[in-house]
Amino acid sequence: MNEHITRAQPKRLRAPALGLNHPKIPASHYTSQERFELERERIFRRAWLAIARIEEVAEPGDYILSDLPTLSAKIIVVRGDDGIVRGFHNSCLHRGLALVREPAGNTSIFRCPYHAWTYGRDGALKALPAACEFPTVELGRDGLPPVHTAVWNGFIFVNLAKQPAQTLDEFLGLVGERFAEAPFSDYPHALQFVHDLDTNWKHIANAFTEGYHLGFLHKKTLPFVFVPENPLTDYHGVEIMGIHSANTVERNPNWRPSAPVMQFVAAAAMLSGSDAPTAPSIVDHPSMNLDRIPYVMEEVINIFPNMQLQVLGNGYLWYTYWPIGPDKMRWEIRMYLAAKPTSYREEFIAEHLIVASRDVMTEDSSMSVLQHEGLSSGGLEDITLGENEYLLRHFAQSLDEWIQRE
Amino acid sequence: MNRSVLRPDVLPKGFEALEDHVADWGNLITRDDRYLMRQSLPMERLRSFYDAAIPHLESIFRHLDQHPYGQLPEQEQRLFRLALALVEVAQAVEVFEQSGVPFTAPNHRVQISPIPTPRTLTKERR
Repeated sequence: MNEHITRAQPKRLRAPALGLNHPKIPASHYTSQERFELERERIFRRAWLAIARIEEVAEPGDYILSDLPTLSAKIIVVRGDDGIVRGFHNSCLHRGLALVREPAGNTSIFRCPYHAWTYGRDGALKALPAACEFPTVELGRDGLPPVHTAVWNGFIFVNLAKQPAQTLDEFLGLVGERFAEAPFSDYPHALQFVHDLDTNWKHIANAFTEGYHLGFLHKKTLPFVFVPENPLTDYHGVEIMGIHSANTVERNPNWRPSAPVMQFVAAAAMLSGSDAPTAPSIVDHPSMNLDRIPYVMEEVINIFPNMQLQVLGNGYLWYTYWPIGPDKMRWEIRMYLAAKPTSYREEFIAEHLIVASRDVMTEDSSMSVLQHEGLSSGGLEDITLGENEYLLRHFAQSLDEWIQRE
Repeated sequence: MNRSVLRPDVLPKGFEALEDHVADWGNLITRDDRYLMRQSLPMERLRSFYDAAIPHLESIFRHLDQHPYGQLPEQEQRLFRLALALVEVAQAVEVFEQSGVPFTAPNHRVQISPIPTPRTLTKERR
């Protein structure tokens, strides 16, 4: 140990200090169809949901087709000739056909294969055969069904409410202001992991807002996190910003890999932290690490209801949680890196990062599946959240507030 | 007829010690295939590959990176497939001390892919 290193002690934030005094959550919140439908209609159909990065639709005519399985919605996100990024339901105005089939592309028009109704890059109806047969339809005025779409720091959000109660900036509030300038666009190379899981989505969401499990579940896979002064991996720099939050996870600067493959890849591993040779990195941005602790593993940003950003030493992870039923969910993880490999050695290092990350995620996803199995047995009326699990209590409270709102 | 057609297990000179493991790993192209193979093999077999490969780790990349990235001859492609297999095997040997991730169902899979974008999908650009 380097005893001369002065370590910032965790402030030991606990739930009562935040007014989060209720440890019990009804088990039915994780198992019942009724609760799932309330979450779908009152949260997911009202909240702003991040679905893509602006780099994916960089040029006019670039489009992607984004899947929102919670809402059975497929959204076309397209950049118009005016540079504006718009979202539309993938549904022909005529008789509803899902006209875009490719996951992404560049096009000058969208043309329905059924009756050749044709839409421009701005979604407006440009042409239809025998227009005189449709006197109620007006070219230019009518078009693909629009979805409220807005961009924050390169993240494209949509809102499927007819009329959202808040703009995206209002919805994000302080979290949007704080991280508005964080340089996510420096990491354009993305890979996607998709876990389709037989569990309730909140078990996965809850796995990434407490450090309590790290020393047990991830003892072998995340050894560089643990420091003796912080045995239960309390978070630093916790900030609750309305329904959103952020916190910092420290890492152990004295940890050195002992196994040969880990040693081989350690030099460039993503998780090696903010003193990696590629610094200055995004995790050193002034918006991160409120407590200014010396050794940061990651800054975690939770954007309600289903988005988490994990900002690392040389890239970031973007988690998205999609409930599909009380007992089914899709967990999408996007890993963003600064550069692609340019040699076989680099490809090996990248492969190790991908595989090691997948295995850590798998530890968490497997726990969530077993939680669902356990709760489905029906023996528990409630689950219990500790005073150190304050972000889980905060999330549960935020969900309840949105559900109770008519 | 070249040697590799006669001997589909052959690796570049200097890496003969790994040829015992070509049957397991030498033809696996995707990460999904390698992950499933890792989960299906007993630890002794994984450890035997690991022990054979580790002494060559540095020399594998010194050899492969003599070739332009993306243009490997057949034997070198096979060697690189073994190197990528070592990533999976090292997770079992160095991290978990068992083939799969604990508490995870057998034949576990995760879909991993590039994110489809106009850049990756459109062949012809303006």
